[in-house]
Amino acid sequence: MCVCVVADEDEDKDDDFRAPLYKNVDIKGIQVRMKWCATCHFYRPPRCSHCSVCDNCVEDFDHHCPWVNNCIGRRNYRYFFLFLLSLSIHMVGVFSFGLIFVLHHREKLGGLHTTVTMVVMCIAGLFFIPVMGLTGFHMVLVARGRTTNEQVTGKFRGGVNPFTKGCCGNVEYVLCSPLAPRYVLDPRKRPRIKIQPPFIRPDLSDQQITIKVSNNGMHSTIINSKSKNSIDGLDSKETQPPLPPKADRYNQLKGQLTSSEESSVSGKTHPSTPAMYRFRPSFGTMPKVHYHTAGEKIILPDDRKNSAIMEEGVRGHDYRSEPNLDLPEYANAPLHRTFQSSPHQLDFDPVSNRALSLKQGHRRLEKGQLQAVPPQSVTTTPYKGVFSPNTLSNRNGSLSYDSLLNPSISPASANECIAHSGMPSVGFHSPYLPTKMCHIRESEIHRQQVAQTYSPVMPPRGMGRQSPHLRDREPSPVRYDNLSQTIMASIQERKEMEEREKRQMLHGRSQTHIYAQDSGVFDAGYGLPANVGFSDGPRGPGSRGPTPPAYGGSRDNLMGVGLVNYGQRTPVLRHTGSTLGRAPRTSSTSLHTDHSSTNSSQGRAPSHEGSYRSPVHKPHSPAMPRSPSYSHQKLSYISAHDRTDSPRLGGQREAMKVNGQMDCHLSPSRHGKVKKVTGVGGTTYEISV
Amino acid sequence: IEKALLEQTVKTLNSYYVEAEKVGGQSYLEGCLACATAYIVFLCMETRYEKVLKKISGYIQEQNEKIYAPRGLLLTDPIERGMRVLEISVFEGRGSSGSSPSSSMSSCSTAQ
Repeated sequence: MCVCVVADEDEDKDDDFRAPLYKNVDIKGIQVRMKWCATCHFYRPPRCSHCSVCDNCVEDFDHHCPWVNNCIGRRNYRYFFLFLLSLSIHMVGVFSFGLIFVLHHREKLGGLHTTVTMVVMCIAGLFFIPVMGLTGFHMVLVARGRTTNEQVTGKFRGGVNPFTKGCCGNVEYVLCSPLAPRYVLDPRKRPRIKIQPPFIRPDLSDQQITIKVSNNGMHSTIINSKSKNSIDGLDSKETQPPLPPKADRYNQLKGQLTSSEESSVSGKTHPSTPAMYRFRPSFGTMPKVHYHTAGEKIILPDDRKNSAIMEEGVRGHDYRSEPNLDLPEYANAPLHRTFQSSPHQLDFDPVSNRALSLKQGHRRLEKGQLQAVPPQSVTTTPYKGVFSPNTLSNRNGSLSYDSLLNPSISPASANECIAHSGMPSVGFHSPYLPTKMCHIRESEIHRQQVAQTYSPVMPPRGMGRQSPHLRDREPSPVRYDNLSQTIMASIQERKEMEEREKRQMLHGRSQTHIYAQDSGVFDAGYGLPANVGFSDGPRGPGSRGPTPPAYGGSRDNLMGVGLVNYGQRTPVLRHTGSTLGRAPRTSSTSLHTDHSSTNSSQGRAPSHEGSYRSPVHKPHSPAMPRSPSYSHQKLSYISAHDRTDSPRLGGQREAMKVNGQMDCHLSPSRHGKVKKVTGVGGTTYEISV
Repeated sequence: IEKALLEQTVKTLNSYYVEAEKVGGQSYLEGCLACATAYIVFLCMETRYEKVLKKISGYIQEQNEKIYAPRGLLLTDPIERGMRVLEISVFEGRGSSGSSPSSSMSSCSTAQ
């Protein structure tokens, strides 16, 4: 038994905005992916689905029955099934008795009673077929232990159903299980418990205690906690409007340096869930894992504060406001302001970060704030990036995911990019980047940063960035919002590897798949099979909130907006960001190695846009060596971009394309250890092989 | 808080939930009786599940009082959160309290 949710990181990479879209759970040895529901603001438990008609998530969702005008779920499936059975029996009875009556009065067929009886028999006979069909169908479902949703979406076509108890067990479960009470209860008076300040604290042998806290998205109750180093670091969540669930976090009490984390992470087969990140006590990781978190991790060793700032800027919100405040100060608040210079920039970092994360899916968050944050983070990063390569690396981590993130996130990511690139180029690019240009720059920067971070930190990592993006995108729209640095690092590495593989494999896939895949992948909604993300109604990636529709339409938006979302959180970008987030991520990852900050940003953007950007990339010469130096240099955005992007983009695109097909990319995306079984438009179940 | 303590708490909770969801004779009889009486019987008696839930909430309260309160933590009954998370509130001592939901695996595992 473990308090923590074992979540695979690879899926969470693409977290849109502070909340990984998916969280993995292990049920009887089979990995089940839980999706973040934007409407209900939590990770849907397994077999749970959101019903658009009823507009809420239904546990053990079977289907929405129009005859009774209600959803059939866990608590009423039994009655529904019994209703079907009794209805069938009733119809059979009516028909047969009517037949007997008619036969008995054969000589008086014209009589009133007989006629009426014959009419009734006809109706019964007419409805007999569909009702019996449905009854038979449900009998099969009961025997197999599946829900209608699962059956229709073909989730268990592979034959592995983790929820089955055997034929008899299933029947028994349906008919005889105790009836669970409703979850919506009157708020009862909670027992008062006195809490005294002097608390007993268990001894921490060393700060290396890692606590994983996984949020299930209960951000409503989450409050930002200021205690950073406390073990309790259960982490406060942001006080702000409910944020998307925070990915699991690993709290590292002790400053595990990012390196250590990274190494450990890389060692792992799969990096922790997107949400998980190790944060240094000083930061008091916030449950919301920003994509930056990975970045953070890296920074910590060097300088918490500095890194914090950098990260804060990006991630900001999760952490305590204090660090944010400090950091942003130095950061160049003015710098970034292309996005939206918010008056609160520095101060906002922590808040804004939160807001950003919250925003993901929460419309209520103030857009302005969110956006303000990202810019801040961006700005801060650039400054910081200069002085610490680590931070850059962190940023990169976050950056890689930034692409996936909504536009809101993008600013943060953009920040990161900037930070990573550590170049002033970011600075100058931000101020005068027109909105249109911003995204291009962003992508460039982002890429650069991504590339940069890796380069200074670890050359091999740089590639990783890309892979995660590619990978993430493919299997699902999962995004990491609040990934801790460590996580990011691990993710990045993985991504790099995957990306490499993908690039090789996927070469030549059209980019368009990416979008398609996004939409299709992330849906956990049952009933929306094959609805490629365009339809996201209930399913839109939770983190993204508005973004879901973006996948399909994001492209259009992107084009229209022309903003690189990942870096900036502009409201406009939000929706575009989501789609961009996806695409840019992949591109950015590939690009990050390049380091050209500008290029990276560009590279990213093009990737998303796919068609949109492709022409942009093409010109880039693949020959660009990616070295940190690039990032730091002020390269012309476009030119740098070209270089880095071109080679990468191709790869990324392919990777992205892969995503389009759920099945395809899923398996490669995973480390290859698990086989992902995806239903049509349904949740993905990973079966460890 | 010590990991062992928390684990033990979660394990106990899980076992309670398993017991609640156990498909057995009593639950079957309850269902039949309810069906036979057109579910009027639910006005009079509570199902086995509800009984176990009460037990759970009592257990949680006791745990809170004994173990978690002295450490500045507070466990929230999962049922209040829709059986999704096990919520642990951290008392900051500054008037602010943070709560972090821990994984909801426990409920998932019990359900499964």
